[in-house]
Amino acid sequence: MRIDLKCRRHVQITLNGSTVRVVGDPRLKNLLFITLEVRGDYIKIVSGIDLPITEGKTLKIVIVEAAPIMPEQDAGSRALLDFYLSLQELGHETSFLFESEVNLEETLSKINPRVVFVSRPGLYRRTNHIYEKLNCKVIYIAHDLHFKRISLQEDLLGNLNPNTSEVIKNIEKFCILSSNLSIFPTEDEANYANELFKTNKATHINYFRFENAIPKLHEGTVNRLIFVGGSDHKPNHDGIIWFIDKVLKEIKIEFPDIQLFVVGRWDKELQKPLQQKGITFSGLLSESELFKVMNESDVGIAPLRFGAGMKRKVLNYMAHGLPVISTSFGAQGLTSAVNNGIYLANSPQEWSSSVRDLGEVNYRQIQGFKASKYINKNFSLECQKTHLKLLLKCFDGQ
Amino acid sequence: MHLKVGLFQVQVKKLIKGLSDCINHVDRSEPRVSMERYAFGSRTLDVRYQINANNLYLAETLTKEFRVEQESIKLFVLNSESIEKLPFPASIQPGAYDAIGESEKYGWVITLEPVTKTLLALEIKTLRVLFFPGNKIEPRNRAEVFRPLLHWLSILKGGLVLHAGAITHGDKALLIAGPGNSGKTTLTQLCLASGFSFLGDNVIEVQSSNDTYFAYGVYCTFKLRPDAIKVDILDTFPYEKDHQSGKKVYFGANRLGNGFDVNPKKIIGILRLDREGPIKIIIDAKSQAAFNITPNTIGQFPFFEEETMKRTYTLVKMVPTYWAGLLNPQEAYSMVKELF
Amino acid sequence: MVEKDKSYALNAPGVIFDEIDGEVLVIDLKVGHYFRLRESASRLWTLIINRNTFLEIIEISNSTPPNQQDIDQFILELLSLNLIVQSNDVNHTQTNLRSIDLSNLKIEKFTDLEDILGLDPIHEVDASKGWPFSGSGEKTN
Repeated sequence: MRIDLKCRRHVQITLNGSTVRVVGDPRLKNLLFITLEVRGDYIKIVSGIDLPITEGKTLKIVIVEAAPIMPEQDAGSRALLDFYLSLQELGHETSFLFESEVNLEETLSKINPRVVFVSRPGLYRRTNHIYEKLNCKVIYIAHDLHFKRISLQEDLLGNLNPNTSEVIKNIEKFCILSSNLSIFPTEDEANYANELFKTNKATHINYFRFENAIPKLHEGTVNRLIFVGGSDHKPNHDGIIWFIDKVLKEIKIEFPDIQLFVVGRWDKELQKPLQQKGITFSGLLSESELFKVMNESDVGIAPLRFGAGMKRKVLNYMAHGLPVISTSFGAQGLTSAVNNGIYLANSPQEWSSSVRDLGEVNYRQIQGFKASKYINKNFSLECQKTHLKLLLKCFDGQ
Repeated sequence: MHLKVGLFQVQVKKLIKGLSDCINHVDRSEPRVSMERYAFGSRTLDVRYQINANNLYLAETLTKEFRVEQESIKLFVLNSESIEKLPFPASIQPGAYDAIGESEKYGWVITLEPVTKTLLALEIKTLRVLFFPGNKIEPRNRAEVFRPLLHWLSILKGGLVLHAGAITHGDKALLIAGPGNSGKTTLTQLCLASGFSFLGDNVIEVQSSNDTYFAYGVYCTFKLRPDAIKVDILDTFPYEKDHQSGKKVYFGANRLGNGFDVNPKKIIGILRLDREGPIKIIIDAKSQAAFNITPNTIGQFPFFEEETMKRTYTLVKMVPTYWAGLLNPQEAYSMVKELF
Repeated sequence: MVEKDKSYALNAPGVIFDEIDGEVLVIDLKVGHYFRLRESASRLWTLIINRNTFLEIIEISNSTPPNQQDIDQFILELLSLNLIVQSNDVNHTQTNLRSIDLSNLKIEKFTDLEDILGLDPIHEVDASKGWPFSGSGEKTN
């Protein structure tokens, strides 16, 4: 068994419920990365790399969310987990606090953090009075511009109260203007927020990070399309309805046996009208199950007709070596990936044409390679950490 | 939609015409331009600066030694005045990596960053090149200057460029490939410090002759993460910090003597590194090696992707392939030496 | 019936309100619901938030008994929705409003923003027990 660890000279690890203390070789000073090999009843340090201690000041950081996150279920939670891991790996003392579990005011004043990341507008708005009393910097994790998405939804579906986008816009404006910094997943949204609210506090960073994106071996023609997303998120629900209703039949003219595999939580009642031959709703899957399903698919799809922010599902497909066909909304913030792993298609005819192009295996393989390469280059662990490092730099020594 | 596509094609044609006129003009005005010659993989780069064109400090990156019998490629570094005269249509939207995909069918391969007007354009028929650096070139790009061009020229000549380092011993070379953070630079440095020479840290040109594959060094530079191992030799190199990547870029061209050799070396194998790999160097499955090396090469730069993929597969079939994870620094040299 | 000599305050910080184009939008940030108060309802809201007691409101509006009943119901509804709470504060902003029409009082409720603003945007909240109990009935953990 091989274990890769970060540690100092001594490390304590737990193996199968037992705690083992490993004393490193005294020559390995400041060792931050070692490979251990478990050999029977002892552990040997077999290699290590001498690395300096983390640059910059260590900060006490708290990430505040309404309730415990479930990263396997939604992208917002996953983003928070990614932030947490990156901040920890940068050497900062980072923890989560959940509004539903603790008295936020009391706990925060005990911890006395230097920086507080607050997720989502509702939470920020109702707890803002707490941060004002603390001597800390507040970073608002916007996730996206909700009012923009709602406004688009209203334009398209016309079933919302006209006040809704105005209400949420005012709340988001408050969050952006009263925090020290607001972070968005795309540069476009950050720029839009700055312009609209006449500020310079909005900036963009990578919300997501991926360990080594793995290319996939593509064979034959396009047999299966995959969509990852649950029905509780309105753009997903609308997108799949539109796709099945309008796009799939166009694709089936040339690819009559093509399958659609939908991953995520979908209400059984919502599935019923969409059930037809060749469409599978798998429900929620674990990471390993999802990996298997991605490997059995040929193309990832994002047929979203409205929305905001960067879609983790698109990045996830690419990280699994799948080329992607997406509407413009689905590919927001990823213009540099267009024709570099992502195909843009907004009409049924464009979708059909994209599937046709990707039907050629060499071409699909190249697009798949480009997709995984794009993730490794732009959404690696290092990329996100670099962004966070720069973000926090302005709080050094303050 | 058709109107838009048609308009775009007209604009590209207009740009091509402008580029052709420009390149003919600068090529004819030879007495008025300054020249420098560098080894650039399996060829010589004959760099000619227009008057008032920005100095690219190429001697920090490329080796001034070259083999006379190599083909010579003329590269013209344009000044702002020439760039302003080129008909860049307002609505051209380059594709990934700033490529103008349509240009290939008109006999040119072009990348253009529309805001800074950074231009790299190769006329396929004559292999003449136009270059305009736009704003200041970032250190990480200066460390691998003209890299898309290297890729295109190599493919057109029947070879390819690999995202790999290479170490040499005598007239033999071992390529070291792998994704980012897999330890390529660390291993290359450790071998360099132990007496090997090297052909590059990140980019190697490969050409074949009678089923034998040869590696060519191009860039004598290192890009190191702040927490990476650094060998003593690098202390003598000037460096710059690249703010976007956070890396330190060391420029060692024309400083290493025999440590960096521009002559071709016979490839004895490819060592694929991977953080999850074994702690010793073992034989790698060919298909796995090809599969894992290829994405690092595809999607680097636009154009000629299918050729790149096929040639990578062929190369891997023809040379021995090895696999390793993070090697113990104390043992790495002796493990690698065994492969020679 | 509300206590006639008590005043009320906004149930901050969980509740906020905005005035947009003459309408008052009251937002319950915990549940993610918002309420629209138009015309007379918005005027009455202003009086309530300015800490006027029921008796003072009756006097200001010069309202008749049937209307007084409506005002009483309106305040009770705001209390039941947790948008306002009873206040011990007797100081209030003097209002210049006299003989205001407070007939046709209506509170319109909207739940469109539940999933964005609600306390528990990720998980379901138990319908009977409410927050912080999850849809499974157990406290979110």
